[in-house]
Amino acid sequence: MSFPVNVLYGKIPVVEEVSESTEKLARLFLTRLPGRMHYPKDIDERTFVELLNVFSAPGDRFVERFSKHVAFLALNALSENDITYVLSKEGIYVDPERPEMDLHTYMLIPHPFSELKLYHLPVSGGNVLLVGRLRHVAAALIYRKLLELLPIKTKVPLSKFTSLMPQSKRAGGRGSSFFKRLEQASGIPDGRKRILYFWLIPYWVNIAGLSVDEAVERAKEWSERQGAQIYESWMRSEARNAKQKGIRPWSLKKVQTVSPDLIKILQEVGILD
Amino acid sequence: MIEEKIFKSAFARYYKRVRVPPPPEIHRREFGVGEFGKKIVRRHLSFSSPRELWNYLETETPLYISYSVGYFEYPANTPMEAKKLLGADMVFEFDVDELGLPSEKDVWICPSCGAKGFGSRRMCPMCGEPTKLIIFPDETRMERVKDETETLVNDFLISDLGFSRNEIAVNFSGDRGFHIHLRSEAVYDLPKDARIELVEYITGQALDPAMFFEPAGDFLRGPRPDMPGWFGRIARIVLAFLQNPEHEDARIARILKENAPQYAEYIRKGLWPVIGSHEESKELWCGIARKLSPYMGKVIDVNTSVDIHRLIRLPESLHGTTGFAAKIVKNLRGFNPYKDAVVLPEKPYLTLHVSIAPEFELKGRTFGPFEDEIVELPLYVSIFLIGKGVAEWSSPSKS
Repeated sequence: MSFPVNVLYGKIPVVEEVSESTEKLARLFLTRLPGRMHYPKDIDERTFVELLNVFSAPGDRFVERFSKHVAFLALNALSENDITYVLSKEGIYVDPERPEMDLHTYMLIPHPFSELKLYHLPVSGGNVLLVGRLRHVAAALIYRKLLELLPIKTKVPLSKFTSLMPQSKRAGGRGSSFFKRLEQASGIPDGRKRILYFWLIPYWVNIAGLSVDEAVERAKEWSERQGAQIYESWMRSEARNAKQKGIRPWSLKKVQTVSPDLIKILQEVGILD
Repeated sequence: MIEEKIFKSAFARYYKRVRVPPPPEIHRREFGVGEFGKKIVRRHLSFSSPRELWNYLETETPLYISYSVGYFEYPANTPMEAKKLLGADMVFEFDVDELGLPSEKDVWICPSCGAKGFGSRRMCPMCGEPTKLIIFPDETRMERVKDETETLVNDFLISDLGFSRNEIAVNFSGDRGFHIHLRSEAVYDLPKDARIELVEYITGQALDPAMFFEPAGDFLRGPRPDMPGWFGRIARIVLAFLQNPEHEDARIARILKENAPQYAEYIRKGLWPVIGSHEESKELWCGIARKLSPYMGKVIDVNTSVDIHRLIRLPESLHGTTGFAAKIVKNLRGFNPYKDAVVLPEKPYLTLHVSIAPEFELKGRTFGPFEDEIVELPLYVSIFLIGKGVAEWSSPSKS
């Protein structure tokens, strides 16, 4: 059975109930997340619609995972006609003699598959050659379509699925409030340079989006508040390094292994429980 | 501070004389300005016309002025979301630092113990702390930066990605490198992910060797030198390497040396020799290409290129660290930043205490070396040394 492309590009019906087989499949998605091998190789139209309804509600992570899964299914199931249909529905003209697409159109397609990354394709004069890759492109377009489409309004009783969803890591862990507490802290007795190095500088330059200069200014203010003397040149070199390499703040677990005393200090000053 | 006054008065005279060309769609751009020692102290500025910009430069005389690569509906609004982004140019930044080329013409100063010396030392030999590196003019090194800039423009932006020369503008950064502005409809509305992918294409980051090769009997079927994009580039890099092959593994080095001409012949046909297993060979060939290509990850400042909220130096404006103009460059090969971008006048001469400076050339004249000396220098050299943080004004009576 070919992939239900028509449903995707037509009006998607809202389902009132999900069938038993779909429920089983949805549970698999929600509980055995990486286990792609456990999912069916193709899904029929009805199951597809039911799953669409289920996954459109639980949240971004599931929507994205479901969309990726569907794209993967499409990759293996699309017929030649489906490929042409999807490309034309998305308004993309591909020269059938020598499949190629202009760079701008190509760059607007999300690339869930590594083989679609630009550097893995012959690129010349602003055209991306897609020899043997049209199936991938069509699957990527389906992925985009699904991301745009979801969430749809659903009447499915979701409560039986939401309880299966794992708790967000952020809820119990270190979120932006951790950084807020760190930023606002004063009088931290020790480990101040490490706090800047592990967390604050990477946070400022790569998450809060500050420039190196702005991050250095914040670091200066912060260290003054702690009564610490930290060289500006050090702060600047760390900020520049973090920015250039895209270094993210360290996890508590990782810091615990290299600097357990720092965690204790943060606990003592009440930043960590 | 007297040094700041010296800068302000020299810059004000320049801006009275020179009408800095405004960026396209000036009313859609956010501007940011800096003061002595700080590149951005105020942003969210906007100008509705070139005249407004020129008036600002003449009256306020910022030591740095940058404008947004993004186009906004309300450029002066804060926070960033309230500006309503409409689109963005793309800017590539090549810097002497990024190339990591040391030079005897540089100077290092240790902020911890105050030691200083010539050369590109990153750690202080006295106390072991990181040093502050001060980059001085070095024409040989600048030629390398020009080479990289030319390759980016010609090989990647024009040949591969199909941008036209009219969509690309190159200007000197005003200090250590070049900015390449890409203003094209094809990038205007690209989201951040797509911009990252374009930069990754140029830097070759995350290239997966497996994508270029597949086993074909006793060979790997792989790229030919005449193929477009990275396919051809990898083949050409490896062919150049085979003219004089070297490898850390002595066995592989011997095999490569003995068979280089024959291997090159095969590679031209898209058949890549297998040394060991197919998988090992894939890694070997791509490893060689990765090592030799200057575009594999280091040269471009990635953040500058993908950040759509970035502020970038306004072309033809003055740089507050050097006093050089961020000159628009028409002919890169013939451009000498240490002559063409030195736009401040010679007079008045200023008396400075120079803590350290190597021998360097500006406007065709040689200065230095200086070490804890009081010297009288032309205005453009004085501004350069003060901006670099190695000199301060000294009243003539002190000398």
